Amino acid sequence: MTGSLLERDVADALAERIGTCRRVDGGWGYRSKCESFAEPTALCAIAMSLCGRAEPAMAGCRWLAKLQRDDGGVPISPAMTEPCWPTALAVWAWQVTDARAFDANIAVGCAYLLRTVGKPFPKDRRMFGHDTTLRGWTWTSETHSWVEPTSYSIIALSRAGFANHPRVLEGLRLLRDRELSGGGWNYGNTRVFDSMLRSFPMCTGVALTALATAGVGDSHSPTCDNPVRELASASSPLSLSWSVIGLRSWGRLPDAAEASLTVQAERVIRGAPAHYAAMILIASATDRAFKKLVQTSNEPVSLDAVGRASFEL
Amino acid sequence: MNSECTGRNRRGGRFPTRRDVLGIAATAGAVGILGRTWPESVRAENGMRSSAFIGKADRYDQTLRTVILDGLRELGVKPAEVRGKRILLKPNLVETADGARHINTHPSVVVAAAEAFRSLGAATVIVAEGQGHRRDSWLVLEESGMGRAMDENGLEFVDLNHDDFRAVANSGHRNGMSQLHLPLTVLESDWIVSVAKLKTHHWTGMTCCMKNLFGIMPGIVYGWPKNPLHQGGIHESILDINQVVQPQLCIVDAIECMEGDGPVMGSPKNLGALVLGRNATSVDATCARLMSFDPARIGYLLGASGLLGPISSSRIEQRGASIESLRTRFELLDVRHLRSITVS
Repeated sequence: MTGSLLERDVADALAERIGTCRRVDGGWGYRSKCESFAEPTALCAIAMSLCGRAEPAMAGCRWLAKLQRDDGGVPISPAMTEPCWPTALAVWAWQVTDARAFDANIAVGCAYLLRTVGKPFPKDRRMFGHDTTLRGWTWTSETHSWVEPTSYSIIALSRAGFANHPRVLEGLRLLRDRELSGGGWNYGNTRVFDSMLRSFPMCTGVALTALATAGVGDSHSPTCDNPVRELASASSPLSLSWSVIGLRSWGRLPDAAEASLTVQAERVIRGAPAHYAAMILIASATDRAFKKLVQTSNEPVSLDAVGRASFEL
Repeated sequence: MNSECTGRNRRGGRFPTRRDVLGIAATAGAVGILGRTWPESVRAENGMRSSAFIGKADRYDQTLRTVILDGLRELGVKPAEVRGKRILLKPNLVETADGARHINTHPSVVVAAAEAFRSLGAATVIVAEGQGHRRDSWLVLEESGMGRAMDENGLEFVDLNHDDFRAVANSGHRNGMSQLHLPLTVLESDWIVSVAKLKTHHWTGMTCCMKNLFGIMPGIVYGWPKNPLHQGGIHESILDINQVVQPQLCIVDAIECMEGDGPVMGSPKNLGALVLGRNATSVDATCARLMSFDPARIGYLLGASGLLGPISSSRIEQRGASIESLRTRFELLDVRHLRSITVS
C-alpha cells in the first residue's frame, strides 16, 4: 500500500473541514467556535502537513511557536501558563512540518521535556499494580506519570535524536510496565487493589506509536494482538485513528482499516471537531507521509539499555 | 439532633478521625490520594433542612419520566422555576465494558430527565460530561448507548473535558488550589442537574451526586485521570467543587447499582429506585443509608454536613418510598479505610 487509505475525495473533504474550522489566528480549537488550543492545533498542523497543505500547517506551527514559553514549555492555550503537556505534540508538529524552520523551538521544547518529570512515589503493590517509582511524563506538574503524556514525549524526543537518552529509556520502561496483562494500555493504571483494569484503544495506539518511534518494535509481539482485536470495535474517529497509527507504526495494518476509516471519515465530515478530521487524515496518510510521521533519527534502542528483564519483546 | 450529627456515634464510640475514616493515610499520603485536614467530629448542621424523594423503579423503561415528575412535584419544583431555563444534565460516564450497565448512568434515566424538564418548559436541555478515564467521548457515548439515546431524543452532548473554561476562586480552598477551572458550558447553564449513578468507590466509600461533579472539571486542565484533584485529597476536592458548583437538582440512577470494587470494576447490585433532591449533600446521605452506610463515616459527607447541606436523618425529610423499604447492604472492598462505613 503506497497511497492514502482513503479515497481522494474523502481525504479532500476532511482537509476542507479542517480548513473551515481554522481560526483567524492560525490555530484550531477543540470545537469549531472555541478559542485556539495547542493540542488540536498541533494535530491539525500535522495532518495538513502530511497531506501537502503547507500554508495552514505552517500557520499552525507559527501559532504554536508564539505560544511557547521561554523555558520551552507549550501551555494548553494562550490563556494559561500551565499545564504544558502539549509541548511534545507541538514539537512533533514542528518536526513533521518543517524541522529546519522550527529548530530552535524544537531544541528548547526538547530541553523542557527532558527536565520535566512525573511525580514518583514509593511502591505499594497492595494498592497499585504498576511501578510507581518510574517517572515518565505527566499531564500537569507535580502529579504522577501517565501513558499518554509519556508516549507523546517519547515520540518527540526520539524523533529529535534522544531515543537513547536515559529519560526516554525510563519512559519506555514505564510503558512496558503499564501494559495490561491481556495486552494494550489504558490511561496508566494496570491494577488498583484487586482488579485488573481494562485497556482503551486510543491509549493503546498512542503507546504503540511511541514504542515504534523509539525504535522498539517487533511485529510478532503479542503487544499488537490486543489492538488488532480492538480495532474492530474502535467505533470512533479518535480511537480508530490512534489504533491504526499504532499498528501501522509496527507494520501491522489490519485489513479492516480502510473501510473503518472511511466510515469514521464520513461521520466526521458531517460535523466533528477539526482534530478528529486531522487524526483520520494522519492515520490514512500515504506510506511516504506516514514514515515522515514516525521516523526517528536514531539507531534502534538497545534493549540492554532499557533493561531486558522488563522488555521481553 | 440525630446522633449522626454529634461527636459520638450510636454505640458510644467516638466518630472516626481522618485517619480512621481513610485508614491508609500513611501510605496514601505519599501517594497523594488523601487530604490534609479533617474535622474530628461532625459539626452542627446550622439548622439546615432538606428533602429527598425516593421513587421505586425496578426497570429502565418509559415509566422513569413519571417517577421523575412525581419526584419534582414532591420536592416542590414548580414549572415557573424551570420555564425558559438552560438545563445541563450531568450523567456519570466513566468507561464502558460489554454488558456492564452498572458502571454509567443509564441512558433511559437521562432521557427521562430531559423529557421531564422539557415538559416543564425548559428552554434547552443538554447533556454534558468530562470523563475521568477515557478521553474519547464519542467512543464512550457509543458503547454506553448514551449517544444513540441522545440522537433519538434530539439531545446535544458537550464534552466538558475539551470545552472553553474560566478560572473561578476556590472558596473552600481545602485541596490547596486557589482556583478551579470550570467549563463555560457549566457556568452559562441555569440549572446543573447531577444525574449520578449509585456505586461504591474504593477510595471514598461511595460515589453519587457530589463525586459526580468531578466530571465537570476539564481534563485538558486536570488530565486523565484528574490527578491534581486526587493529590489535593479526593474528599477535599469533592467539597471544594460542590461549594463552587451547587447543583439545582440531583437525580440518582439507583436502579442497577454497583457494589464491591467501584467505581468501575465492581459487581452489579439491584436497588430499584430513583432518588431525587435539591440538595446534593442530603441526597448522597440518603443514598448512603440505602446502601447501609453511615453518612457520617463517609469523609466528604462528614465535611459537607452543615456546610453544604444536612446529613442527619432528622433534618432530611424523606418523601416517596421509605429508606427502610429499600435499604440493602452494599459490599465494600475489604480495605482498612472502608471498614467502618457499613452499619449493621
